[in-house]
Amino acid sequence: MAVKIIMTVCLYPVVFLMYFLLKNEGQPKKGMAFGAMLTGSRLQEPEVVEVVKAYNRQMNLLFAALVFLPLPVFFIPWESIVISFWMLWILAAIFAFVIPFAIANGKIKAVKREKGWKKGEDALTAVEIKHAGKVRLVRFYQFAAPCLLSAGAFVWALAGFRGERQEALGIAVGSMAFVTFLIYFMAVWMDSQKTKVISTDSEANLGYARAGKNLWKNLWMWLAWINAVYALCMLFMLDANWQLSDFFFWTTALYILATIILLLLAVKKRRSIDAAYKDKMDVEPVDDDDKWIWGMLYYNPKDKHSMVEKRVGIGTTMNMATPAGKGLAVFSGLALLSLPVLCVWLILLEFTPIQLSVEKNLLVASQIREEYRIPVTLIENVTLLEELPKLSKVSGTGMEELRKGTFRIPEEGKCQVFMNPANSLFIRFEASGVTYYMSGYDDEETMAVYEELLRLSR
Amino acid sequence: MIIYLNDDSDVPVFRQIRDQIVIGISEGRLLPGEKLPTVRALAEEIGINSMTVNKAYQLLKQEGYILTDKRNGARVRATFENKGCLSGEAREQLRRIICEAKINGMSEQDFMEECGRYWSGKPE
Repeated sequence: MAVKIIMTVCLYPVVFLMYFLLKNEGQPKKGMAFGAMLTGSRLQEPEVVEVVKAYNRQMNLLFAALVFLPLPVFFIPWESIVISFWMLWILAAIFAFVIPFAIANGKIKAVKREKGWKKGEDALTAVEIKHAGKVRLVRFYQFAAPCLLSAGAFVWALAGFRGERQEALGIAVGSMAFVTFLIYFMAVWMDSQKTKVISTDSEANLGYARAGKNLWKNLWMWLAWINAVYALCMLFMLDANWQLSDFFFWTTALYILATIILLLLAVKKRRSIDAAYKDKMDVEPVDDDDKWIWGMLYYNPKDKHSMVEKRVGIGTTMNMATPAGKGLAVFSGLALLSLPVLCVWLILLEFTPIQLSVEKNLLVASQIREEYRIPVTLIENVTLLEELPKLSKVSGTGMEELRKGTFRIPEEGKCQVFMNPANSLFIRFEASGVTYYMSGYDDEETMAVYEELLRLSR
Repeated sequence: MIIYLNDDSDVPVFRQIRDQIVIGISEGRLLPGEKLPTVRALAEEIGINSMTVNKAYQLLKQEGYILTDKRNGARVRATFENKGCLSGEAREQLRRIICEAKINGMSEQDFMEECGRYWSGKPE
């Protein structure tokens, strides 16, 4: 049940977010309809209004379907099926809403062609040359403190926090530290983007670019600090086995909340900058609809900029024609493909029974593949337990009916686990200085293995 | 100063940059002695190779519109050599434009008025 609640709380809001975001972006405004440029009164033309109506209908239908679809999942008892369902549902929630938007974008482009509304056939690029390369606001010293803090936490975790070396701790803290450095590189990258031409007045272009880049710089700086503090918290949390404690929950919740608040503040600030420069915006944007696939993805092989300002929403997007854009597309594709593979793996794990047996003086534990093969001669201090100590996962699998991998017990430290925790009998033993907790598929199998181990040890 | 570059044009990009800078100087949007962006900065801003911008600057320098030196970068010349006539290439272009205007049925008077507007720096 815990998995169902966590998945619902974390993932269910995505459908509302995607719906309201894309529904809002779909409404014609700022000379744009569905990522296609339309100026002035043309936004109110009957053909455009008809496209908007059809789009709203499709969005509402999809929203209703996606909102009610997860309800039956509360009656599914299998953890892997529940997780797989949510994984596929989240993919659907993200991508399904893009389809009506892409359709509407195609319709608007067709209307523009049919009515001869497209301004010129050639794609012009407007460039402000007076201040080219002059608006660079990001400096390393501004990010040095959070980067050093993150790196420090990583080194501390690797070197052995509180005297004990912990690989999992190093990986977790290292990942967070890496994100801090990534934030710095993103800040540098976005700072080098071209100055947007909004006015025939060069000073207005300079002011607008400076205000925008300053906003991004501050946002990245705050994100770097939040991330560094979270990396440090993680160091303490994981070391103290607080993964499931209130401290972990509240720290993570605060981390997410602070990030969301920062993003909302950035959006608000961006809008106020746009409002402040509204009167000076006297340059009509260049009609480059053909460079925007579905009005969302920028593809221009003749533009070497790897990042450009988004047409839909606030922020930047990749030029898919550049090596960086292609790399991102491949990476995203692989990440998306990995989700169904992960689902199949989870289902296999849950539905393949574990096996524990003694064969030719070897204790063999297997599920899908052979996990452990321990010579019985090395096994000592074998005990049969009817109750499990409190186990917290370091690495491996932790499902309601399957636990395997490296776990930690507060009094004993790290141990190797291979069991069905829903059973009533478990075997504890030591071999080559390592403590093991194991069970068979059921209590009968566990008992048989326990008796065989006792017999062989005599 | 804003320049417009046409990605789909048959005119090479370095030529487009050169032409727009010459127009900017002529219309007073680029002042005598004004500093131009560095080759790298302008290439990054436009999103093209540095060699293309370098080629445009070399051409402008050769034609006497700008000065370049390693320390100060590129600047619009403070004074221009008043030759009092068009270059051979410009003369050829003007001839082509006049021919096109004649073929398209433009009268000499309209053509001269159009020229006048550009001469005064008020093409609109």
